[in-house]
Amino acid sequence: MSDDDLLLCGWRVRSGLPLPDLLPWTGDDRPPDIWVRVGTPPERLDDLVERTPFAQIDASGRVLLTLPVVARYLITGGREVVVEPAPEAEAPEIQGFLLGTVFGYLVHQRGLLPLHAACLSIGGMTLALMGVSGAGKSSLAAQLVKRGHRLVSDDVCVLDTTRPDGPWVRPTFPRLKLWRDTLDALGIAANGLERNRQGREKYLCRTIAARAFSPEPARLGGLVLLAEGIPGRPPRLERLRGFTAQSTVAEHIYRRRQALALGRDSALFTAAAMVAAKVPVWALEPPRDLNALDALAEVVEELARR
Amino acid sequence: MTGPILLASYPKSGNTWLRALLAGLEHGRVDINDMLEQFTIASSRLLFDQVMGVDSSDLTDAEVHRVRADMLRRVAEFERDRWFLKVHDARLPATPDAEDLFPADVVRAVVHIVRDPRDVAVSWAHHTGRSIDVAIAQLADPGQTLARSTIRMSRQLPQFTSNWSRHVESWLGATDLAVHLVRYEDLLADTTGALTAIAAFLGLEVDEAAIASTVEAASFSALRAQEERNGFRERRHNQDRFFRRGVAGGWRDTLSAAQTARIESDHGPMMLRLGYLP
Repeated sequence: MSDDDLLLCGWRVRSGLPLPDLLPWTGDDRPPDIWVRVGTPPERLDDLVERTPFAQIDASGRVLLTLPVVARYLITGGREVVVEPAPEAEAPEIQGFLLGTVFGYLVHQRGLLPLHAACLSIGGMTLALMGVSGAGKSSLAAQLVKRGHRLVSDDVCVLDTTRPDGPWVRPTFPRLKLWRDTLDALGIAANGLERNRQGREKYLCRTIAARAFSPEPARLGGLVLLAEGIPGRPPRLERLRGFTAQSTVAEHIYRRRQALALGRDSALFTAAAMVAAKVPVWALEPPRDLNALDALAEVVEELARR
Repeated sequence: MTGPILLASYPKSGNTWLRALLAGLEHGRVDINDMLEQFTIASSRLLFDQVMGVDSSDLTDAEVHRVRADMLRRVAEFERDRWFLKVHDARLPATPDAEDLFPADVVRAVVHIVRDPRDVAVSWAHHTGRSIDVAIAQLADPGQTLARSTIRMSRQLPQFTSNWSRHVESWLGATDLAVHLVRYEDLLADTTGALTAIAAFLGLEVDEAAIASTVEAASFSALRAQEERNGFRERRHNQDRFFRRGVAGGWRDTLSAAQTARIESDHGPMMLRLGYLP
């Protein structure tokens, strides 16, 4: 059992569900940091501080995530996830939410700073690419991987802001989630790739990501916001400073609203301020065009050289 | 809690112009590239993801659709002041078991803008970069849904519009909501008068000077000049410009007789009802 333990952000994970996206644990013989068990979470939580049709958060900080045709997940103390898969669910769907939203809650419960960002190591410089869903983080990350750079994380970049020498990135796992149009633009065949949900052409790319993955923690060298480009205006690159830089980081905290319900407001504010003070933050207004990915990758490479 | 004021329309019916005019009244200035934030679209993927605590891109269209009314309720809980949402959805169930996307207990009021479907068809063809015949077919398609795509990520959630007639009917017939109907053509013919009526309907406290300066700042030539200078984030890549003509009746020099006849046959009863056919 313990031989099958897994690595996630430097934590030792013991899972009763297969998690093929995670690397095997090769560290010391510490007890597991996170347990994933198959079981039966309660139907509902009491004493709620946040409730959406999908997520309930109680006053003790427990989170119950309910996706009716996928699974129910109870996330407690940053240490334990109890999963009840739905009978009709496919494994990639159950794993997808576990390593996405559930993972985000675990990171918040453990007191780290998860940003909605891809992260790459470019010539020794670790850069996070922040942006909302659809901003093009994964597409640009895949393009940079194609150009020989190393992948640190895809959708969520986990920062440890407790170290005196600045924010450090905890690498997540080697997987890129790419839509069909990006696969086509990058010349990657969709044949044989798993889909993240049945019936949708969003694919899980593991082989490409695994070859490029960098599992070692690294000091963050910079943050790039992938802003929304404005048609008719040339691509723009701007260094953000002061409050603008700080609020840009804060706005891209993964599951921010739910994290505030977990009581993390002052901790997150402090962490975002620290990151913006120690690390340069740029805003990049890209052309919204998959044909421009190569040119965009060059802009990011140039930033990494600064 | 304060419910949203909806700015509802079929696409290419003057919603952007209406937002520009309301931006002038509400914010005292018109910047076409700020309007997406000032008047968020009800189908914004970002809004959904932030409020619901899951990524809509990991959900099926049906899962998203089922909870959109709930999302609106949640946003309204946190709103204290007057707020607006742009809407292109029809107020129709997208699936037989779907709930009302815009329940009467949440929505505060609706400004519904309509435009002659012959002009809409021409504008939609330019907007999408497709032929006018394709645009006419889409205006007639009862199953038409915007931003429904399985191969790429859209910044918007799917919006069921149905066909032009059913879309217009769904808002005209919303007797449980306070709906103020504006015809694009009337807004163009007497912008000051139509805007004054909208302001009165919404209970905005604005004087004649504010209306006059807003009409000026949101005139077609002013909006087009802004686009020339700064670009427009809501423009599609296939378009040369978003603010193209800004006229009523432009279809007369663009549509063939057969195309005109097809639209009039598809939408005759509703065109008659709105005064677009004699």
